[in-house]
Amino acid sequence: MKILIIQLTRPGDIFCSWPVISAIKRQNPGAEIHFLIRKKFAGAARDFSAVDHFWHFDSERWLSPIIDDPMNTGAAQIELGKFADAMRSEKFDQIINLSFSPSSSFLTHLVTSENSEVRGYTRSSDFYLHIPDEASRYFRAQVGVNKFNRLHIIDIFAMIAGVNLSDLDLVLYPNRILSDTVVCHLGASVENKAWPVDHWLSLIKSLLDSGYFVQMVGGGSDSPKAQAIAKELGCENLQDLIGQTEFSDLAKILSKAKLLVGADSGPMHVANGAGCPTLCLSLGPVKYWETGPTVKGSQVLACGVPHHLKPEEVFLSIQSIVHMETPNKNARLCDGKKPVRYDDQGNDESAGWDTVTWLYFGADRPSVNSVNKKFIDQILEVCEIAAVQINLYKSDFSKTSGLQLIEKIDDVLKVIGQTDKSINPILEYFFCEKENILPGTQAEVIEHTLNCYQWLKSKTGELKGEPRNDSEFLGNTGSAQKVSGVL
Amino acid sequence: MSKLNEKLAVTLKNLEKLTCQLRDTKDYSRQSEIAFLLKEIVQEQILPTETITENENTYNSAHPTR
Repeated sequence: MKILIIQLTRPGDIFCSWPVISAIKRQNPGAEIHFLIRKKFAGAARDFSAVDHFWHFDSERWLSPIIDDPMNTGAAQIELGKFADAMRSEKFDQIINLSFSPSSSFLTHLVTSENSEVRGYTRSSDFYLHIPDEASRYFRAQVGVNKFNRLHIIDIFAMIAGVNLSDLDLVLYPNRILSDTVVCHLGASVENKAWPVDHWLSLIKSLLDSGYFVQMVGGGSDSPKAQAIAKELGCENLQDLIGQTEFSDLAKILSKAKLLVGADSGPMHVANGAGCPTLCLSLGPVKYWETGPTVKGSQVLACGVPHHLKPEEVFLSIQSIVHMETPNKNARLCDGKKPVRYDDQGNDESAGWDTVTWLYFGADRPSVNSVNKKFIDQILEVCEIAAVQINLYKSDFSKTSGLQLIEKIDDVLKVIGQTDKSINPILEYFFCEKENILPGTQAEVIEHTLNCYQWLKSKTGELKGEPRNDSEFLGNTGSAQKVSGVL
Repeated sequence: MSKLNEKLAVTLKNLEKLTCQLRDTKDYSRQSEIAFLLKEIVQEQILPTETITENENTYNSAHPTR
């Protein structure tokens, strides 16, 4: 069996793909596993021993003729075509796309051969986005900033791939040895997720005063921060390793460290693979639920404005991790449970998540208040209007004015979702199903569209307390299936 | 915008025109899909780095509702 896994995002996502690769190999020891990643991030997967063949997505090379002549795209198209042909000729039995970008979905479709089973984002025959599996549709509808997902991305990847993760699958670097070293990752992938240098200075001083050995790690761009700190605090217990570590070096360092402190970024994912607890400084627009630390005992301090997170609070959390004490009230604890990996200690509202668990995982119907009911009534009303307009169009394809009205109805539904966030997961599901209607005759597409509105009407009615109507419970794929029994 | 991105913006405009034509003529050949893929790769180079990790509906309009 030949399996291709596609991961075209950044090092953190590559590390988050490792547990799935490990589980696939464990469950299919004879399988030949191919892994496609961007060439510039190849170092992140160097220790992925379960991979049999690496493919490198080399966009810089493909684009080089265009840089010489911006109007000449022919050479790039020929090179891309050769690459896609070479991959397709492998005739993969299964293709699992774990990235969610347009380029990855087009490439997935291009390398799919007649008998390939595809999971993850791909394209249909007319190049519209197509999402064949329920887990990826869950991602599209419910994952991201301003949404309510609480499943970690490694668990969503496992759902997409159709594998069950064991704790051992999360270990990329075994042989952990403990020391008194605290590793500080000073930077972040983007500056608005990074903690200010004066706060680092204050924290590292407290750590040194308490007898810890401190190693500073990060990319070359973090060097000025480290130099400023070393100039102020320079002593034999402080080591500057900025710009000196490949991922495999970092893994060796973290295998021996007591703790990593830093942003939700590449080094934190290396720590996950090395079994090293992390104090994750989840700053700016980051969702720790999805990408935070996975080692039991790790903690997350979340703060929208980086400089508002005080060094004293970070130091207290470090002490509570090291001494295995109760976390302070603002911290989220990674308690080793799955698939919701954090105890939020009552810090986060759960209205939208309750709707998600009811919608996808068979949890009890969430309660609704009078405000929710008002918005539900509006949804029911516009669904009726949509159904009338679609039926009119179905009877006479020349009556296109109703289609414009349907566009306006969708705009209204989006505004309702933005206003009443606890209902929004249902609307996100609806829009995802509507978008995922497959190519067909005009009559088939109309019928599927009508089904989507009927599903929305039925489901919102059910939320309000009306009896469930299974005959209307269709969606475009035939049923509103549960993603899996993960909860 | 850097000089490199200025060049890529010209290419992107060219590819957007080409892919619009391909959609209008319903040319769903393999060659045509490679042009769509190239357009996305060029766009990724111009977008901020973090954007490529996000759910694609946040910025892409290559898949309108059918």
